[in-house]
Amino acid sequence: MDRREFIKAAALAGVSLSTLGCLGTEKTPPVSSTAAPPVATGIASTTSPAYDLTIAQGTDPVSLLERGFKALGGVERYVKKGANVVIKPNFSVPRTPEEAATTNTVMVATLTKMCLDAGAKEVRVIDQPLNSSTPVLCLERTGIKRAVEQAGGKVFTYNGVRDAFRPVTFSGKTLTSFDYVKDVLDADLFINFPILKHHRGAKLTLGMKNLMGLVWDRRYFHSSDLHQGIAELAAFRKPHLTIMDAIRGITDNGPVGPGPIREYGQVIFGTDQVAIDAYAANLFGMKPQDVGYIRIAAEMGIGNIQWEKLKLQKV
Amino acid sequence: MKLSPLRYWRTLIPAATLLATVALMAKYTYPLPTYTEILLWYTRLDPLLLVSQLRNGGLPIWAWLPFLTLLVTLLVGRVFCGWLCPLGGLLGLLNSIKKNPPPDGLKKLQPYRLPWLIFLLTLLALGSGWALYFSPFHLLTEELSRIWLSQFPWMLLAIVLSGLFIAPRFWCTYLCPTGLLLGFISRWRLFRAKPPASCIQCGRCTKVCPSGAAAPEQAATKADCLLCGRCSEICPVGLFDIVRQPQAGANNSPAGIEFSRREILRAGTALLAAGAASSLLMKPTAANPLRPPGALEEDEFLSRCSRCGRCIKVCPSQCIKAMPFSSGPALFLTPYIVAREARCELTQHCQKVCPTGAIASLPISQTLMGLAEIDHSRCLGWAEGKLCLLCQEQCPQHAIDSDDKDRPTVRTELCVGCGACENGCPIDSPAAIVVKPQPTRRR
Repeated sequence: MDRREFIKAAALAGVSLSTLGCLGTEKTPPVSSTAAPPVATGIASTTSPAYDLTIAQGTDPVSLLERGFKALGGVERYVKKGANVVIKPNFSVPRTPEEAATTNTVMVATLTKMCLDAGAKEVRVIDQPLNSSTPVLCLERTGIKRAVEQAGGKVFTYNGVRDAFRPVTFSGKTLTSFDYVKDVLDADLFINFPILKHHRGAKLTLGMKNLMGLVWDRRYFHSSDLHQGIAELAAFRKPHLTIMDAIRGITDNGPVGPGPIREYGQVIFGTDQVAIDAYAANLFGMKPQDVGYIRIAAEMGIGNIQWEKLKLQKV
Repeated sequence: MKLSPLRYWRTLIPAATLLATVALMAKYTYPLPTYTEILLWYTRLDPLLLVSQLRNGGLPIWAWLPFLTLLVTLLVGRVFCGWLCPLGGLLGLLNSIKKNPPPDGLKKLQPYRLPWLIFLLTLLALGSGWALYFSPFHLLTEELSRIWLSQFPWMLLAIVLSGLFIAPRFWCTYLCPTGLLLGFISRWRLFRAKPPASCIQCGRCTKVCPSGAAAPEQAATKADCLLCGRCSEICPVGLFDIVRQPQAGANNSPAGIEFSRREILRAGTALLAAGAASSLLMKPTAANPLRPPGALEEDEFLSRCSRCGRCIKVCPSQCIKAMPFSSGPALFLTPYIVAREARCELTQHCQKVCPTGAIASLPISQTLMGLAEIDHSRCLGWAEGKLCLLCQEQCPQHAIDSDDKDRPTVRTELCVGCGACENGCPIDSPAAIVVKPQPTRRR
């Protein structure tokens, strides 16, 4: 680090600290004692100004992201210069963007570009598609590889890539020791970027369910206690930011699709995983309490299930 | 017309066909570029493929291609073998490196060539795709797909060694069924290469001829002439002529077969041997394997499949594998799916590259590779009352229903047998949901 870089970094750190001080009144969701706090070394600030959830409304993916981040105070608030950013969208099924069963490709590419423009060193977009032997189908049909690489990011699928995982421990009822994606553990900024869609087994796949793409052995979750496992996984490593693609999504035949599509015209930003999932479940037309992992996560104190009581910022 | 010394061309063009075949095989990936269809059309030049198709019904629309090959062969002989065959291209390359004329002793094997061809053609007619395996396009792509999967290409090695140490075109002139068929037809060819009139019987042409066809003592080259032009190049007195000469000399009667008692006996033995072999090569010993989507019903499938390995190469999930030797001679090398190792993604790429139609183009809605069956005594949903439903999550056909207790059931009217459920099931050896191959493959 040369002198100039040092000064820049120091100045930035100062600004971040002062911002944090000014915003001392923000609500922080209750954190379970078992949950590891997010390591925020690379983040300028994860605090949201005066609202719990920021909801951008519309249909244009680029404008939705831009308006959302503008309301949050700019992407620069999250991305520190030189940060390693990891984005976990949902491209786990081989569907085209029109089929609305994967996170909007344009938004993922746009977010990649925004992070890089804000000074991120590297943006890795990762998932472990369901069809474990053929992630190339998902990469091709969603078009995510092409789009993200054009934006300057990198796309990885970790199916069968043993080296991409690291053993971790957690003191949960279901999760004790398991293997988790290294990239996320080492990331300066980890953004969960799910899509709101139907899921036959878990009823809905939302933000917390999306994190299942980060574990080596998903079979374990299904053979132990799926909902408990998902909730504990969400507590294990909280994303610094969750962005829920609720522009449009399938309302049946999930997760694989294709299925009937409903337009919600929203993108939800926030740091409270439970609140976001609860809000999205309601949007879908379900009671959040009826989705096992949302209820359990709320009971564990990971976040606030009563989204009605939260302060929503609509832009 | 003079046979020009074709120096570079006789190596370059056949080598290019080899290169093109390798390049097209390399492009057998997901997504499949449309131009790879060239390999399909290229393969159709082989008249032996047409013979196998005749067994299964009328003339295909591409029948003009093999007829073109036959026509060209009737005109000028084995120009396909010498110039267009990719395996010939490989052997031609080797011959440019090591110039070894066929040893005299090989001639002893000549009487067995026709019985071998009769044997293979009879096998083909009786319904074993094995005969096609030995034809160049199928054998070469099968070996190439092995190389891609890091398996050892034994056959290719054997052919290369035969080219280096027995004779440059030993494979082409003694074993290749397509080559033997064209060589047989070539006996009636209209135009033949012939030494110049001032031939001094120096015998140099016989030393460079890779197929042992140069015969200065005779009026024209023999039926195995590949038209490579090496004789014309080496000849000290002038260029060889290409003359219109439908009848060869007395020692080389057009048909080339003297129907002696011995010849008839050999042909009869070949027929009987084919009959005996067919019972071995057509009756599968293993249980019905899970075939790629669109595969014909088992008997029909085995009669068509040439074991060319292209479906194995193109499969994006690499779920298609070659059956092992232990599965018996009838099934050995035919493609099958082990769903527990990888599931079929129903991209239908295998259908697009299959040269024989053993894997037919069939809409997914009509496909029936197998049907999933749940073992209720071991399924987590049924036996332990757990919410698992991984099979349901994986199923691309929405063929798994669940009841209010999260227990899965198979909707057999929707299941195609792709193996996604069996592949995903958290219960091991065997999975609690297993695809049972179906004898009827079309809905």
